[in-house]
Amino acid sequence: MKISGWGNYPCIDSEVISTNQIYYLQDIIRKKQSFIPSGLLRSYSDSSLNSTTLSSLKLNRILSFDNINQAITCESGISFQDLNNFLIPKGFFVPVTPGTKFITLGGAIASDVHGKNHHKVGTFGNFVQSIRLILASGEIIDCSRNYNQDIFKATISGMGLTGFILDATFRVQKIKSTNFSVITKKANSLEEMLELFNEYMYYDYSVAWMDTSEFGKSLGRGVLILGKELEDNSFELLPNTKLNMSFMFPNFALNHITIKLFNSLYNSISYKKNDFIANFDKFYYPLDILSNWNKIYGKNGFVQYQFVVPREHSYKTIKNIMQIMKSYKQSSFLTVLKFFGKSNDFYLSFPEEGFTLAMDFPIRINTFDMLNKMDDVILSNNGKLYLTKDARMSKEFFESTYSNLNKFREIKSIIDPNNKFSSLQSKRLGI
Amino acid sequence: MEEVKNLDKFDKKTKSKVCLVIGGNSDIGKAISYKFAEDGYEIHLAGRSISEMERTAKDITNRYEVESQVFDLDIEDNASLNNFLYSYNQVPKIVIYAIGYLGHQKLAENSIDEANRIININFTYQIPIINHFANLMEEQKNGNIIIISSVAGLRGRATNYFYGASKSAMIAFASGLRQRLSLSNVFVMSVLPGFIRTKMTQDIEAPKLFIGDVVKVASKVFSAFKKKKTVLITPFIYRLLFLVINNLPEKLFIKLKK
Ligand SMILES: Cc1cc2nc3c(=O)[nH]c(=O)nc-3n(C[C@H](O)[C@H](O)[C@H](O)COP(=O)(O)OP(=O)(O)OC[C@H]3O[C@@H](n4cnc5c(N)ncnc54)[C@H](O)[C@@H]3O)c2cc1C
Ligand SMILES: NC(=O)c1ccc[n+]([C@@H]2O[C@H](COP(=O)([O-])OP(=O)(O)OC[C@H]3O[C@@H](n4cnc5c(N)ncnc54)[C@H](OP(=O)(O)O)[C@@H]3O)[C@@H](O)[C@H]2O)c1
Repeated sequence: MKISGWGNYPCIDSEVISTNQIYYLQDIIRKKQSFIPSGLLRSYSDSSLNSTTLSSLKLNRILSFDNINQAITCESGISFQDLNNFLIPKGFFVPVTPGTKFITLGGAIASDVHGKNHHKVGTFGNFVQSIRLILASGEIIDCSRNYNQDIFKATISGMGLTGFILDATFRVQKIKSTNFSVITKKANSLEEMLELFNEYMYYDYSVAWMDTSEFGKSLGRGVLILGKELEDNSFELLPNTKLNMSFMFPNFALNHITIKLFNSLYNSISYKKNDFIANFDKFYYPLDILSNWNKIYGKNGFVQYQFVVPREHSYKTIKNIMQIMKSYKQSSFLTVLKFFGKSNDFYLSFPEEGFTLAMDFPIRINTFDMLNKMDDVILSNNGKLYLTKDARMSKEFFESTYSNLNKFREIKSIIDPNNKFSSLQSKRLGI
Repeated sequence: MEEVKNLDKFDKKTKSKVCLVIGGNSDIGKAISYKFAEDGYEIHLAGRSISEMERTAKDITNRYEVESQVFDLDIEDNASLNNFLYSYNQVPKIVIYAIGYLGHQKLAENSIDEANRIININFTYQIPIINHFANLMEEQKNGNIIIISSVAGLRGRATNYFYGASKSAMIAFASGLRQRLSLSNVFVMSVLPGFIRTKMTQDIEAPKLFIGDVVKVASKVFSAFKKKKTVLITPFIYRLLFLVINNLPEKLFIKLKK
């Protein structure tokens, strides 16, 4: 079966094994030589690709829910959509969510995902209490902060390379409403934008959309979106209405001009109103309304480039990156800026205190060349790239930017000496 | 097979909203049970994969806030079967029979063990359980029985006629049972699924058009049950297909081998 990540690059043939029988999964893991667990394939490129993939999607049972201790135990294939449909009527929500609800619990743990509240609460991994993992030997083990701690720290953020996450227990957040009061602030330049982030740090949720078609004085202009949960005790699920883009646009559809148009339109229309009330779905998952929006990049696919750099290097790094982009006549359709709070001790976790910028680029002849140039800037500013978005960084770059890599490799060599759990990405990066 | 004698300790009253699945780890049986759980039924799962069923039971209870229980039952093991009938001392409102074994046709052609296995699991060994609950329900004048057979039982084919024959037996059995119990207010429904993607068929290829989705099948079964439909062939395309197949003259049918 042909599969690919969200960026449709690369697209490979893979034997996809999907089962709801745990003994069967253990058996496969014991017998096969090389495979990678997969969820909803919302990582952008090759993190969950291998010639054999072990899909978690049929393992989605809710094993326990404790509303007093605010803890839930689920199998790893449950989606955030399913989880929230379960939690919301009870007055709870997942503690951290990425910008799409179409990810699984396993994917959230393996990528140690972050949300708009990272500066306040950290990553999803911070809320995980324990994990049950199927190791390369087929054996099932428990791990947590108190038990098999090293395996726990390697598994959260471990990109599916330590074992198959069977189920996990994590803390959920109590909510008082499914509505958010949203405030938007316009920034006319990058400087203004970074200042706005600073000024509004006390907001629970923050994220900015940046217009990357503007240079010169307006370089870095955009909209900062701030959110606060209401306390109106309304807990509403939403019907699933979706626009489908399930056909591939021709390659030329998203050229420089359309991006420019989109960005200006976005700036002028969407945020005429400064404050408004938005339900959680619109607030957290604005892009989910368009299913398969990734197809607008055409068959060649696209890459997302997400880096983080320490606060003190942020301004010049972002400026440099934008300049490189300009010199390559590229522009990013979707550009998201966010401030991260403190990092954690999971070995391959991405967030570090500082600014993170995520950009989408269609794959063209010069795209990879451009990204290599950008890597030089990131490297010299003590930054790093997000594994779950990466499609092409080099082994050397990766090794010099992930400081706990050796700790990870040490654990990996003990629990999976033959590298049975491996992805195209892990082979590329020698993880 | 011995009769279950000890009926004194039976809770003879039909439990108002209990649905028992014989074959509680079957993908189709499970999917149907979720529909009844959503409708407020307490779910009982009986089967041989206890740890899987326990996880499923927890999921059902968490999602639908209904009780759920798990019972050990291996119908190939007489002791287990008797023990189940003996210890399951109540009369549920609905019993769903979802145990099945596709088996290996080629093997069965040369091995009487495999041939028997197919016939026994799909038919013979299920009969004592069906009888047991049918009699109790008849006595109560209350209850519902859902028997999952297969479209494979509609016409024997070279590729799976051991399985097909056992399913055919079940279709005839259900039909007779329905007639008998119609006098006692007990509803018997026959479900004849086409090719459904489940763990029974996980390694078998089929044209996309003819592959049914287990959740959709469950919805169909549930709504047909509510409408008291006696025989359900699902997905719909199999009704058309078998309208044709069942009317083909035998001479022509022979030539369609494969
Ligand atoms: C529109 C969009 C917005 C996004 N926004 C954000 C964001 O705001 N913040 C953020 O952090 N991320 C974001 N992401 C990335 C996404 O959250 C991660 O890539 C996530 O891991 C995807 O989960 P998945 O279920 O699709 O997993 P997959 O993509 O299928 O797999 C991702 C990784 O998890 C591993 N994995 C999956 N299941 C298991 C398992 N059961 N056991 C062990 N390993 C497993 C895989 O091996 C792979 O390495 C976004 C993605 C999209 C498409
Ligand atoms: N899938 C299809 O295409 C299809 C089509 C037509 C009809 N059907 C029928 O639908 C029913 C359900 O099948 P399914 O598709 O859901 O496949 P399934 O998941 O494999 O279900 C079959 C079930 O039978 C159980 N079983 C087999 N031998 C048993 C024994 N000795 N004791 C106790 N349980 C036993 C299995 O138990 P374990 O789980 O413990 O292995 C399994 O749960 C079967 O009657 C099948 O023949 C299926």
